[in-house]
Amino acid sequence: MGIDSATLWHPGDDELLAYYRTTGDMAYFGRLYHRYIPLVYGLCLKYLKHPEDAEDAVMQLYEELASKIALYEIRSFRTWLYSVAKNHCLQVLRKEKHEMIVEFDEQFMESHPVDHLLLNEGREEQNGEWLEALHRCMEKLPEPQRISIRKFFLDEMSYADVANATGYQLKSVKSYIQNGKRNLKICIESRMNR
Amino acid sequence: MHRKPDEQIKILPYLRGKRKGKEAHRLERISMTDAFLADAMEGFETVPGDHASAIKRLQTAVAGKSRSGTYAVRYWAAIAASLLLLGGAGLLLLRKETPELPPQENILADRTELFPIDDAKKPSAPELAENRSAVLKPEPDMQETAETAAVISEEIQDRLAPPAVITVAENEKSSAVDTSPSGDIRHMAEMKHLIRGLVTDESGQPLPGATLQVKDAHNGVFADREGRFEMEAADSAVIVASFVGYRNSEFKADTSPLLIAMQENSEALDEVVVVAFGRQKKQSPVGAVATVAGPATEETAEKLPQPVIGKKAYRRYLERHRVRPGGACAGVKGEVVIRFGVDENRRPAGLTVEQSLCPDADREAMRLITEGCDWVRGTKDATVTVKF
Repeated sequence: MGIDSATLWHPGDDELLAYYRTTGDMAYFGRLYHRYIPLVYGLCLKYLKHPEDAEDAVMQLYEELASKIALYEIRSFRTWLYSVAKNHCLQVLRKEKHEMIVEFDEQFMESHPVDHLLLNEGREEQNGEWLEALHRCMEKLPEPQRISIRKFFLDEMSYADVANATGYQLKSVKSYIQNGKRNLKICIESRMNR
Repeated sequence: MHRKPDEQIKILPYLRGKRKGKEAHRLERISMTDAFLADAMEGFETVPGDHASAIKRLQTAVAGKSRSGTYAVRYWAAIAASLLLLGGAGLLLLRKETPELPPQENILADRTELFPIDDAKKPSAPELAENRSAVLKPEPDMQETAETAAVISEEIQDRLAPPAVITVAENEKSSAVDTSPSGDIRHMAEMKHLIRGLVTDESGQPLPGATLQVKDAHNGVFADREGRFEMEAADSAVIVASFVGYRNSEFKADTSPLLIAMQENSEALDEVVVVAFGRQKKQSPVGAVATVAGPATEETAEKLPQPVIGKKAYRRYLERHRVRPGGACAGVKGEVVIRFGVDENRRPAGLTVEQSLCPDADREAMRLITEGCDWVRGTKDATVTVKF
Protein backbone atom coordinates (compact mmCIF):
# COMPACT_ATOMS: atom_id res chain seq x y z
CA MET A 1 0.00 0.00 0.00
CA GLY A 2 1.95 2.94 -1.22
CA ILE A 3 1.19 6.40 -0.01
CA ASP A 4 -0.14 8.50 -2.79
CA SER A 5 -0.14 11.90 -1.26
CA ALA A 6 -1.61 13.41 -4.39
CA THR A 7 -4.93 11.85 -3.59
CA LEU A 8 -5.06 13.30 -0.08
CA TRP A 9 -7.05 16.35 0.64
CA HIS A 10 -4.64 19.23 0.46
CA PRO A 11 -7.04 22.10 0.67
CA GLY A 12 -5.69 25.45 -0.40
CA ASP A 13 -5.67 28.39 1.99
CA ASP A 14 -8.62 29.89 0.16
CA GLU A 15 -10.59 26.71 0.46
CA LEU A 16 -10.03 26.38 4.19
CA LEU A 17 -10.76 30.03 4.68
CA ALA A 18 -14.03 29.72 2.77
CA TYR A 19 -15.05 26.69 4.80
CA TYR A 20 -14.24 28.52 7.99
CA ARG A 21 -16.17 31.58 6.94
CA THR A 22 -19.26 29.61 6.07
CA THR A 23 -19.27 27.17 8.98
CA GLY A 24 -17.35 29.08 11.66
CA ASP A 25 -15.92 25.73 12.65
CA MET A 26 -12.51 26.18 14.27
CA ALA A 27 -11.25 22.93 12.77
CA TYR A 28 -10.87 24.67 9.42
CA PHE A 29 -9.15 27.69 10.81
CA GLY A 30 -7.00 25.48 13.00
CA ARG A 31 -5.80 23.54 10.04
CA LEU A 32 -5.09 26.71 8.13
CA TYR A 33 -3.15 28.33 10.96
CA HIS A 34 -1.39 25.07 11.74
CA ARG A 35 0.48 25.14 8.47
CA TYR A 36 1.73 28.68 9.08
CA ILE A 37 2.97 28.12 12.59
CA PRO A 38 6.60 27.59 11.56
CA LEU A 39 6.56 30.86 9.64
CA VAL A 40 4.73 32.87 12.27
CA TYR A 41 6.91 31.51 15.02
CA GLY A 42 10.08 32.33 13.11
CA LEU A 43 8.81 35.80 12.31
CA CYS A 44 8.00 36.44 15.96
CA LEU A 45 11.41 35.16 16.97
CA LYS A 46 13.00 37.69 14.68
CA TYR A 47 11.16 40.57 16.28
CA LEU A 48 10.71 39.49 19.87
CA LYS A 49 14.07 37.74 20.26
CA HIS A 50 12.88 35.39 23.00
CA PRO A 51 11.45 31.95 22.28
CA GLU A 52 8.89 32.25 25.10
CA ASP A 53 7.61 35.59 23.83
CA ALA A 54 7.41 34.22 20.32
CA GLU A 55 5.40 31.23 21.50
CA ASP A 56 3.00 33.49 23.36
CA ALA A 57 2.60 35.64 20.28
CA VAL A 58 1.78 32.63 18.11
CA MET A 59 -0.98 31.58 20.47
CA GLN A 60 -2.33 35.11 20.90
CA LEU A 61 -2.46 35.52 17.17
CA TYR A 62 -4.35 32.27 16.82
CA GLU A 63 -7.04 33.47 19.21
CA GLU A 64 -7.25 36.93 17.73
CA LEU A 65 -7.26 35.97 14.09
CA ALA A 66 -10.00 33.40 14.50
CA SER A 67 -12.38 36.22 15.35
CA LYS A 68 -10.81 38.94 13.21
CA ILE A 69 -11.05 37.03 9.97
CA ALA A 70 -14.77 37.68 9.68
CA LEU A 71 -14.11 41.40 9.59
CA TYR A 72 -11.60 41.46 6.80
CA GLU A 73 -11.67 40.96 3.12
CA ILE A 74 -8.75 38.65 2.63
CA ARG A 75 -7.43 38.04 -0.82
CA SER A 76 -4.30 36.16 0.10
CA PHE A 77 -4.29 34.65 3.55
CA ARG A 78 -0.55 34.28 3.47
CA THR A 79 0.09 37.95 2.75
CA TRP A 80 -2.53 39.02 5.22
CA LEU A 81 -1.15 36.79 7.94
CA TYR A 82 2.35 38.09 7.32
CA SER A 83 1.36 41.70 7.83
CA VAL A 84 -0.95 41.01 10.75
CA ALA A 85 1.63 38.86 12.53
CA LYS A 86 4.33 41.41 11.94
CA ASN A 87 2.18 44.24 13.24
CA HIS A 88 1.27 42.19 16.26
CA CYS A 89 4.92 41.70 17.11
CA LEU A 90 5.65 45.36 16.58
CA GLN A 91 2.82 46.27 18.91
CA VAL A 92 4.17 43.94 21.56
CA LEU A 93 7.52 45.66 21.24
CA ARG A 94 5.94 49.11 21.45
CA LYS A 95 4.09 48.18 24.60
CA GLU A 96 7.27 46.97 26.13
CA LYS A 97 8.95 50.21 25.09
CA HIS A 98 11.64 48.43 23.24
CA GLU A 99 13.20 50.25 20.39
CA MET A 100 11.07 50.62 17.33
CA ILE A 101 11.75 48.58 14.28
CA VAL A 102 10.96 49.43 10.70
CA GLU A 103 7.30 49.52 9.85
CA PHE A 104 5.65 47.05 7.60
CA ASP A 105 6.53 47.84 4.05
CA GLU A 106 4.24 46.65 1.30
CA GLN A 107 7.06 46.87 -1.21
CA PHE A 108 8.97 44.22 0.57
CA MET A 109 6.34 41.65 -0.24
CA GLU A 110 7.08 41.94 -3.92
CA SER A 111 9.37 39.24 -5.12
CA HIS A 112 12.88 40.42 -5.56
CA PRO A 113 13.62 41.19 -9.20
CA VAL A 114 17.21 40.06 -8.83
CA ASP A 115 16.11 36.54 -8.39
CA HIS A 116 14.32 36.51 -11.68
CA LEU A 117 17.38 37.68 -13.47
CA LEU A 118 18.89 34.35 -12.68
CA LEU A 119 16.01 32.36 -13.99
CA ASN A 120 15.07 32.26 -17.62
CA GLU A 121 11.43 31.68 -16.86
CA GLY A 122 9.28 33.46 -19.39
CA ARG A 123 12.28 34.69 -21.27
CA GLU A 124 12.09 32.36 -24.15
CA GLU A 125 12.15 35.05 -26.84
CA GLN A 126 15.10 36.94 -25.54
CA ASN A 127 16.81 33.86 -24.27
CA GLY A 128 19.87 34.21 -26.43
CA GLU A 129 20.57 37.78 -25.52
CA TRP A 130 19.90 37.18 -21.87
CA LEU A 131 22.08 34.09 -21.68
CA GLU A 132 24.88 35.95 -23.37
CA ALA A 133 24.63 38.77 -20.83
CA LEU A 134 24.47 36.33 -17.93
CA HIS A 135 27.49 34.51 -19.25
CA ARG A 136 29.59 37.65 -19.64
CA CYS A 137 28.57 38.99 -16.27
CA MET A 138 29.31 35.74 -14.52
CA GLU A 139 32.82 35.89 -15.88
CA LYS A 140 33.26 39.34 -14.42
CA LEU A 141 32.35 38.27 -10.92
CA PRO A 142 35.09 37.71 -8.37
CA GLU A 143 35.83 34.01 -8.16
CA PRO A 144 34.24 33.18 -4.78
CA GLN A 145 31.02 34.92 -5.86
CA ARG A 146 30.98 33.18 -9.21
CA ILE A 147 31.58 29.75 -7.71
CA SER A 148 28.99 30.25 -4.99
CA ILE A 149 26.37 31.57 -7.39
CA ARG A 150 26.97 28.77 -9.84
CA LYS A 151 26.70 26.07 -7.22
CA PHE A 152 23.65 27.57 -5.57
CA PHE A 153 21.56 28.52 -8.59
CA LEU A 154 22.72 26.11 -11.25
CA ASP A 155 23.71 23.06 -9.27
CA GLU A 156 20.88 23.68 -6.78
CA MET A 157 23.12 23.19 -3.78
CA SER A 158 22.14 24.46 -0.36
CA TYR A 159 24.35 26.96 1.49
CA ALA A 160 25.74 24.11 3.54
CA ASP A 161 26.42 22.09 0.40
CA VAL A 162 28.29 25.01 -1.15
CA ALA A 163 30.32 25.56 1.99
CA ASN A 164 31.15 21.89 2.03
CA ALA A 165 32.16 21.75 -1.61
CA THR A 166 34.29 24.91 -1.58
CA GLY A 167 35.66 25.08 1.93
CA TYR A 168 34.27 28.60 2.36
CA GLN A 169 32.66 29.57 5.64
CA LEU A 170 28.87 29.21 5.70
CA LYS A 171 28.48 32.91 6.43
CA SER A 172 30.81 33.81 3.59
CA VAL A 173 28.82 31.67 1.19
CA LYS A 174 25.68 33.61 2.02
CA SER A 175 27.32 36.96 1.50
CA TYR A 176 29.05 35.82 -1.70
CA ILE A 177 25.70 34.85 -3.09
CA GLN A 178 24.05 38.05 -1.94
CA ASN A 179 26.76 40.29 -3.32
CA GLY A 180 27.14 38.21 -6.43
CA LYS A 181 23.43 38.57 -7.14
CA ARG A 182 23.63 42.32 -6.75
CA ASN A 183 26.63 42.56 -9.04
CA LEU A 184 24.98 40.34 -11.60
CA LYS A 185 21.82 42.38 -11.56
CA ILE A 186 23.67 45.61 -12.18
CA CYS A 187 25.78 44.05 -14.88
CA ILE A 188 22.96 42.25 -16.71
CA GLU A 189 20.66 45.26 -16.62
CA SER A 190 23.28 47.56 -18.06
CA ARG A 191 23.99 45.07 -20.86
CA MET A 192 20.35 44.47 -21.71
CA ASN A 193 19.50 48.18 -21.78
CA ARG A 194 22.38 49.07 -23.94
CA MET B 1 3.38 34.11 -4.23
CA HIS B 2 1.10 31.11 -4.19
CA ARG B 3 2.75 28.27 -2.37
CA LYS B 4 1.80 24.81 -1.42
CA PRO B 5 1.54 24.20 2.30
CA ASP B 6 4.24 21.56 2.03
CA GLU B 7 6.91 24.15 1.60
CA GLN B 8 6.27 25.58 5.00
CA ILE B 9 6.17 22.26 6.70
CA LYS B 10 9.57 21.42 5.37
CA ILE B 11 11.10 24.10 7.52
CA LEU B 12 11.19 21.56 10.31
CA PRO B 13 13.82 19.19 8.87
CA TYR B 14 15.92 22.26 8.10
CA LEU B 15 15.65 23.45 11.66
CA ARG B 16 16.59 20.01 12.86
CA GLY B 17 19.85 20.35 10.97
CA LYS B 18 19.06 18.96 7.55
CA ARG B 19 20.88 21.71 5.74
CA LYS B 20 22.11 19.79 2.75
CA GLY B 21 20.52 18.62 -0.44
CA LYS B 22 17.75 19.78 -2.73
CA GLU B 23 15.14 20.38 -0.05
CA ALA B 24 17.43 22.68 1.89
CA HIS B 25 18.36 24.47 -1.29
CA ARG B 26 14.73 24.95 -2.22
CA LEU B 27 13.96 26.50 1.14
CA GLU B 28 16.91 28.87 0.89
CA ARG B 29 15.94 29.69 -2.65
CA ILE B 30 12.36 30.52 -1.74
CA SER B 31 13.44 32.66 1.18
CA MET B 32 15.27 34.91 -1.29
CA THR B 33 11.99 36.04 -2.79
CA ASP B 34 9.59 35.45 0.06
CA ALA B 35 9.70 38.03 2.82
CA PHE B 36 7.64 35.94 5.22
CA LEU B 37 9.96 32.97 4.95
CA ALA B 38 13.02 35.22 4.96
CA ASP B 39 11.92 36.83 8.23
CA ALA B 40 11.18 33.47 9.77
CA MET B 41 14.55 32.09 8.76
CA GLU B 42 16.25 35.14 10.16
CA GLY B 43 14.42 34.58 13.42
CA PHE B 44 15.48 30.95 13.58
CA GLU B 45 19.07 31.82 12.87
CA THR B 46 19.49 34.77 15.16
CA VAL B 47 17.76 33.38 18.23
CA PRO B 48 19.21 30.21 19.71
CA GLY B 49 16.85 27.50 20.90
CA ASP B 50 15.15 24.27 19.97
CA HIS B 51 12.80 25.82 17.45
CA ALA B 52 11.60 22.57 15.95
CA SER B 53 10.30 21.44 19.33
CA ALA B 54 8.68 24.80 20.00
CA ILE B 55 6.88 24.63 16.66
CA LYS B 56 5.64 21.13 17.35
CA ARG B 57 4.45 22.22 20.77
CA LEU B 58 2.56 25.13 19.25
CA GLN B 59 1.04 23.00 16.53
CA THR B 60 -0.14 20.54 19.11
CA ALA B 61 -1.68 23.32 21.17
CA VAL B 62 -3.44 24.83 18.18
CA ALA B 63 -4.76 21.50 16.99
CA GLY B 64 -6.05 20.80 20.50
CA LYS B 65 -7.89 24.10 20.50
CA SER B 66 -9.28 23.67 17.00
CA ARG B 67 -11.32 20.62 17.51
CA SER B 68 -14.20 20.48 15.15
CA GLY B 69 -17.43 21.76 16.51
CA THR B 70 -15.75 24.55 18.45
CA TYR B 71 -16.48 28.06 17.38
CA ALA B 72 -14.85 31.38 17.89
CA VAL B 73 -17.39 33.28 19.95
CA ARG B 74 -16.37 36.65 18.70
CA TYR B 75 -16.67 35.44 15.15
CA TRP B 76 -20.37 34.91 15.60
CA ALA B 77 -20.74 38.05 17.63
CA ALA B 78 -19.29 39.90 14.68
CA ILE B 79 -21.80 38.36 12.35
CA ALA B 80 -24.63 39.21 14.68
CA ALA B 81 -23.41 42.79 14.87
CA SER B 82 -23.21 43.13 11.14
CA LEU B 83 -26.69 41.70 10.83
CA LEU B 84 -28.02 44.29 13.23
CA LEU B 85 -26.35 47.01 11.24
CA LEU B 86 -27.31 45.84 7.83
CA GLY B 87 -30.72 44.56 8.74
CA GLY B 88 -32.47 42.98 5.78
CA ALA B 89 -29.52 43.41 3.49
CA GLY B 90 -27.43 41.37 5.88
CA LEU B 91 -29.98 38.61 5.88
CA LEU B 92 -30.03 38.52 2.12
CA LEU B 93 -26.27 38.27 2.02
CA LEU B 94 -26.27 35.46 4.48
CA ARG B 95 -28.85 33.59 2.50
CA LYS B 96 -26.81 33.96 -0.62
CA GLU B 97 -23.86 32.43 1.07
CA THR B 98 -25.64 29.32 2.20
CA PRO B 99 -25.12 27.28 -0.97
CA GLU B 100 -21.39 27.54 -0.43
CA LEU B 101 -21.61 25.42 2.68
CA PRO B 102 -19.39 22.40 2.35
CA PRO B 103 -21.23 19.15 1.77
CA GLN B 104 -22.87 17.65 4.81
CA GLU B 105 -20.46 14.76 4.59
CA ASN B 106 -17.53 16.97 5.50
CA ILE B 107 -19.17 18.52 8.47
CA LEU B 108 -20.13 15.15 9.84
CA ALA B 109 -16.72 13.67 9.33
CA ASP B 110 -15.04 16.61 10.93
CA ARG B 111 -16.83 16.25 14.19
CA THR B 112 -14.53 14.53 16.58
CA GLU B 113 -16.68 14.69 19.65
CA LEU B 114 -19.89 13.13 18.42
CA PHE B 115 -19.74 10.37 20.94
CA PRO B 116 -17.15 11.21 23.52
CA ILE B 117 -15.56 8.16 25.05
CA ASP B 118 -16.18 8.01 28.75
CA ASP B 119 -12.87 8.49 30.51
CA ALA B 120 -13.36 5.43 32.65
CA LYS B 121 -13.83 3.39 29.53
CA LYS B 122 -11.06 5.03 27.60
CA PRO B 123 -8.72 2.47 26.07
CA SER B 124 -5.10 2.79 26.96
CA ALA B 125 -2.55 1.24 24.69
CA PRO B 126 -1.08 -1.24 27.18
CA GLU B 127 -4.51 -2.36 28.29
CA LEU B 128 -5.54 -3.10 24.75
CA ALA B 129 -2.27 -4.84 24.14
CA GLU B 130 -2.77 -7.21 27.00
CA ASN B 131 -6.24 -8.09 25.95
CA ARG B 132 -5.27 -8.59 22.41
CA SER B 133 -2.27 -10.81 22.93
CA ALA B 134 -4.36 -12.95 25.21
CA VAL B 135 -6.90 -13.34 22.49
CA LEU B 136 -4.68 -14.26 19.64
CA LYS B 137 -1.78 -16.18 21.10
CA PRO B 138 -2.65 -19.77 20.25
CA GLU B 139 -3.23 -20.14 16.54
CA PRO B 140 -3.83 -23.77 15.74
CA ASP B 141 -6.13 -22.96 12.89
CA MET B 142 -6.65 -19.67 11.25
CA GLN B 143 -10.35 -19.93 10.87
CA GLU B 144 -10.99 -20.95 14.40
CA THR B 145 -8.82 -18.18 15.77
CA ALA B 146 -10.54 -15.71 13.57
CA GLU B 147 -13.87 -16.69 15.04
CA THR B 148 -12.62 -16.41 18.59
CA ALA B 149 -10.88 -13.17 17.89
CA ALA B 150 -13.99 -11.71 16.39
CA VAL B 151 -16.13 -12.61 19.36
CA ILE B 152 -13.69 -11.52 22.00
CA SER B 153 -12.69 -8.31 20.36
CA GLU B 154 -16.33 -7.38 20.08
CA GLU B 155 -16.62 -7.97 23.78
CA ILE B 156 -13.69 -5.73 24.42
CA GLN B 157 -15.10 -3.11 22.15
CA ASP B 158 -18.29 -3.13 24.13
CA ARG B 159 -16.37 -2.66 27.29
CA LEU B 160 -14.29 0.15 25.87
CA ALA B 161 -16.78 2.29 24.15
CA PRO B 162 -20.37 2.61 23.13
CA PRO B 163 -21.22 0.36 20.21
CA ALA B 164 -20.34 1.67 16.82
CA VAL B 165 -23.09 3.83 15.49
CA ILE B 166 -24.11 3.08 11.98
CA THR B 167 -25.30 6.17 10.25
CA VAL B 168 -26.90 6.23 6.90
CA ALA B 169 -25.59 9.52 5.66
CA GLU B 170 -27.72 11.45 3.24
CA ASN B 171 -25.33 11.62 0.40
CA GLU B 172 -24.84 10.09 -2.97
CA LYS B 173 -22.74 7.29 -1.60
CA SER B 174 -25.57 5.80 0.41
CA SER B 175 -27.62 5.45 -2.72
CA ALA B 176 -25.94 2.06 -2.96
CA VAL B 177 -28.37 1.13 -0.23
CA ASP B 178 -31.38 1.40 -2.49
CA THR B 179 -29.90 -0.57 -5.32
CA SER B 180 -28.69 -3.36 -3.10
CA PRO B 181 -30.84 -6.34 -4.06
CA SER B 182 -30.90 -8.03 -0.70
CA GLY B 183 -31.15 -4.91 1.37
CA ASP B 184 -29.08 -6.74 3.95
CA ILE B 185 -27.20 -4.28 6.05
CA ARG B 186 -23.98 -6.26 5.92
CA HIS B 187 -23.78 -6.03 2.18
CA MET B 188 -23.65 -2.29 2.04
CA ALA B 189 -19.95 -1.93 1.59
CA GLU B 190 -20.29 1.78 1.00
CA MET B 191 -22.16 2.53 4.16
CA LYS B 192 -20.37 4.73 6.60
CA HIS B 193 -19.85 4.02 10.20
CA LEU B 194 -18.17 5.71 13.07
CA ILE B 195 -14.53 4.86 13.55
CA ARG B 196 -12.83 5.65 16.76
CA GLY B 197 -9.17 5.43 17.49
CA LEU B 198 -6.08 6.59 19.23
CA VAL B 199 -2.96 8.05 17.64
CA THR B 200 0.29 7.71 19.52
CA ASP B 201 3.98 7.83 18.83
CA GLU B 202 6.02 4.67 19.03
CA SER B 203 6.34 4.86 22.77
CA GLY B 204 2.58 5.08 23.21
CA GLN B 205 2.48 8.81 23.93
CA PRO B 206 -0.62 10.36 22.42
CA LEU B 207 -0.17 12.63 19.42
CA PRO B 208 -2.77 15.35 19.66
CA GLY B 209 -3.24 17.21 16.44
CA ALA B 210 -2.46 14.31 14.16
CA THR B 211 -4.60 14.51 11.06
CA LEU B 212 -6.80 11.66 9.98
CA GLN B 213 -8.13 11.76 6.48
CA VAL B 214 -10.13 9.49 4.30
CA LYS B 215 -8.06 8.86 1.24
CA ASP B 216 -9.56 10.26 -1.97
CA ALA B 217 -12.12 12.23 0.00
CA HIS B 218 -12.31 15.59 1.65
CA ASN B 219 -12.88 14.29 5.13
CA GLY B 220 -10.43 15.13 7.81
CA VAL B 221 -10.28 15.30 11.57
CA PHE B 222 -7.65 16.20 14.10
CA ALA B 223 -6.86 13.89 16.97
CA ASP B 224 -7.82 15.59 20.21
CA ARG B 225 -5.70 16.40 23.26
CA GLU B 226 -5.48 12.75 24.26
CA GLY B 227 -4.71 11.63 20.73
CA ARG B 228 -8.20 10.27 20.27
CA PHE B 229 -10.27 10.75 17.18
CA GLU B 230 -13.60 9.84 15.73
CA MET B 231 -14.61 9.97 12.14
CA GLU B 232 -17.05 8.48 9.75
CA ALA B 233 -15.90 6.36 6.89
CA ALA B 234 -17.06 3.54 4.74
CA ASP B 235 -15.63 0.11 5.46
CA SER B 236 -13.80 0.12 2.18
CA ALA B 237 -12.21 3.50 2.83
CA VAL B 238 -8.53 3.96 3.49
CA ILE B 239 -7.66 6.31 6.30
CA VAL B 240 -4.39 8.19 6.23
CA ALA B 241 -2.85 9.41 9.44
CA SER B 242 -0.35 12.22 9.19
CA PHE B 243 1.51 14.39 11.61
CA VAL B 244 4.35 16.79 11.24
CA GLY B 245 7.62 14.97 11.74
CA TYR B 246 6.05 11.55 11.37
CA ARG B 247 5.58 9.27 8.44
CA ASN B 248 2.15 9.08 6.91
CA SER B 249 0.50 5.79 7.55
CA GLU B 250 -2.58 4.38 5.98
CA PHE B 251 -4.90 1.57 6.83
CA LYS B 252 -8.32 0.20 6.11
CA ALA B 253 -11.21 1.77 7.91
CA ASP B 254 -12.93 -1.47 8.75
CA THR B 255 -11.86 -1.88 12.35
CA SER B 256 -12.71 0.25 15.31
CA PRO B 257 -11.14 1.28 17.57
CA LEU B 258 -7.94 1.76 15.62
CA LEU B 259 -4.68 2.13 17.44
CA ILE B 260 -2.17 3.98 15.36
CA ALA B 261 1.42 4.17 16.47
CA MET B 262 3.16 6.62 14.17
CA GLN B 263 6.83 6.48 13.40
CA GLU B 264 9.09 9.47 13.49
CA ASN B 265 10.24 10.58 10.15
CA SER B 266 13.88 9.76 10.60
CA GLU B 267 15.74 8.56 7.58
CA ALA B 268 16.76 5.21 8.96
CA LEU B 269 13.29 3.89 9.61
CA ASP B 270 11.49 3.16 6.44
CA GLU B 271 8.41 1.53 7.71
CA VAL B 272 5.13 2.44 9.24
CA VAL B 273 3.70 0.99 12.37
CA VAL B 274 0.02 0.39 12.16
CA VAL B 275 -2.12 -1.29 14.69
CA ALA B 276 -5.77 -1.89 14.48
CA PHE B 277 -7.93 -3.55 16.98
CA GLY B 278 -8.24 -7.10 15.84
CA ARG B 279 -4.76 -7.66 14.57
CA GLN B 280 -1.83 -8.23 16.81
CA LYS B 281 1.84 -9.04 16.93
CA LYS B 282 3.97 -9.37 19.99
CA GLN B 283 7.40 -8.31 21.22
CA SER B 284 7.18 -4.70 20.18
CA PRO B 285 8.00 -1.79 22.49
CA VAL B 286 4.41 -1.03 23.32
CA GLY B 287 3.20 -4.55 23.13
CA ALA B 288 0.26 -3.53 21.01
CA VAL B 289 2.23 -2.44 18.03
CA ALA B 290 2.60 -4.48 14.89
CA THR B 291 5.07 -3.38 12.29
CA VAL B 292 3.25 -3.72 9.03
CA ALA B 293 5.59 -2.36 6.44
CA GLY B 294 8.77 -2.93 4.59
CA PRO B 295 8.90 -5.98 2.39
CA ALA B 296 7.86 -8.33 5.14
CA THR B 297 7.54 -8.64 8.86
CA GLU B 298 9.91 -11.17 10.32
CA GLU B 299 8.59 -13.07 13.22
CA THR B 300 10.33 -15.71 15.17
CA ALA B 301 8.82 -19.18 15.65
CA GLU B 302 6.29 -20.73 13.31
CA LYS B 303 3.87 -18.19 12.01
CA LEU B 304 0.93 -18.26 9.70
CA PRO B 305 0.68 -15.43 7.22
CA GLN B 306 -1.85 -12.81 8.25
CA PRO B 307 -4.05 -10.56 6.16
CA VAL B 308 -2.95 -7.01 6.87
CA ILE B 309 -6.48 -5.84 7.46
CA GLY B 310 -6.92 -8.39 10.24
CA LYS B 311 -8.64 -11.73 10.21
CA LYS B 312 -12.05 -10.48 11.19
CA ALA B 313 -12.06 -7.87 8.49
CA TYR B 314 -10.76 -10.39 6.00
CA ARG B 315 -13.59 -12.76 6.71
CA ARG B 316 -15.99 -9.91 6.25
CA TYR B 317 -14.32 -9.07 2.98
CA LEU B 318 -14.78 -12.64 1.78
CA GLU B 319 -18.44 -12.67 2.73
CA ARG B 320 -19.20 -9.38 1.13
CA HIS B 321 -17.39 -9.78 -2.12
CA ARG B 322 -18.15 -13.41 -2.79
CA VAL B 323 -20.17 -13.87 -5.96
CA ARG B 324 -22.09 -17.12 -6.10
CA PRO B 325 -21.31 -18.99 -9.29
CA GLY B 326 -23.99 -19.65 -11.86
CA GLY B 327 -24.11 -22.20 -14.67
CA ALA B 328 -23.10 -25.71 -13.77
CA CYS B 329 -22.10 -24.61 -10.29
CA ALA B 330 -25.30 -22.73 -9.50
CA GLY B 331 -26.72 -23.55 -6.12
CA VAL B 332 -23.83 -25.67 -4.87
CA LYS B 333 -23.18 -25.49 -1.16
CA GLY B 334 -19.95 -26.17 0.58
CA GLU B 335 -16.43 -24.93 1.09
CA VAL B 336 -13.41 -24.25 -1.03
CA VAL B 337 -10.04 -24.33 0.68
CA ILE B 338 -7.16 -22.50 -0.98
CA ARG B 339 -3.55 -22.80 0.10
CA PHE B 340 -0.98 -20.18 -0.85
CA GLY B 341 2.24 -18.46 0.10
CA VAL B 342 2.94 -14.74 0.37
CA ASP B 343 5.54 -13.19 -1.90
CA GLU B 344 7.95 -10.37 -1.11
CA ASN B 345 5.39 -7.83 -2.25
CA ARG B 346 3.06 -9.26 0.36
CA ARG B 347 0.76 -10.65 -2.32
CA PRO B 348 -0.74 -14.12 -2.21
CA ALA B 349 1.23 -16.36 -4.57
CA GLY B 350 1.15 -19.94 -5.76
CA LEU B 351 -2.51 -20.52 -5.05
CA THR B 352 -3.58 -24.15 -5.03
CA VAL B 353 -7.00 -25.62 -4.44
CA GLU B 354 -6.73 -27.86 -1.44
CA GLN B 355 -10.40 -28.67 -1.26
CA SER B 356 -12.44 -28.25 -4.40
CA LEU B 357 -16.17 -27.67 -4.59
CA CYS B 358 -16.97 -26.90 -8.21
CA PRO B 359 -14.73 -25.33 -10.90
CA ASP B 360 -16.46 -21.94 -10.90
CA ALA B 361 -16.61 -21.82 -7.12
CA ASP B 362 -12.92 -22.66 -6.95
CA ARG B 363 -12.17 -19.87 -9.39
CA GLU B 364 -14.24 -17.42 -7.40
CA ALA B 365 -12.35 -18.32 -4.22
CA MET B 366 -9.03 -17.76 -6.00
CA ARG B 367 -10.27 -14.46 -7.37
CA LEU B 368 -11.27 -13.25 -3.91
CA ILE B 369 -7.83 -14.03 -2.55
CA THR B 370 -5.83 -12.59 -5.43
CA GLU B 371 -7.90 -9.42 -5.46
CA GLY B 372 -7.92 -9.11 -1.69
CA CYS B 373 -5.62 -7.28 0.66
CA ASP B 374 -1.90 -7.72 1.22
CA TRP B 375 -0.60 -10.30 3.65
CA VAL B 376 2.01 -10.23 6.34
CA ARG B 377 4.36 -13.07 5.55
CA GLY B 378 4.70 -16.06 7.82
CA THR B 379 6.86 -19.12 7.96
CA LYS B 380 4.15 -21.39 6.60
CA ASP B 381 1.56 -21.32 3.85
CA ALA B 382 -1.78 -19.75 4.53
CA THR B 383 -5.05 -21.56 3.97
CA VAL B 384 -8.27 -19.71 3.42
CA THR B 385 -11.70 -21.28 3.43
CA VAL B 386 -14.42 -19.71 1.33
CA LYS B 387 -17.96 -20.83 2.01
CA PHE B 388 -20.55 -21.08 -0.71
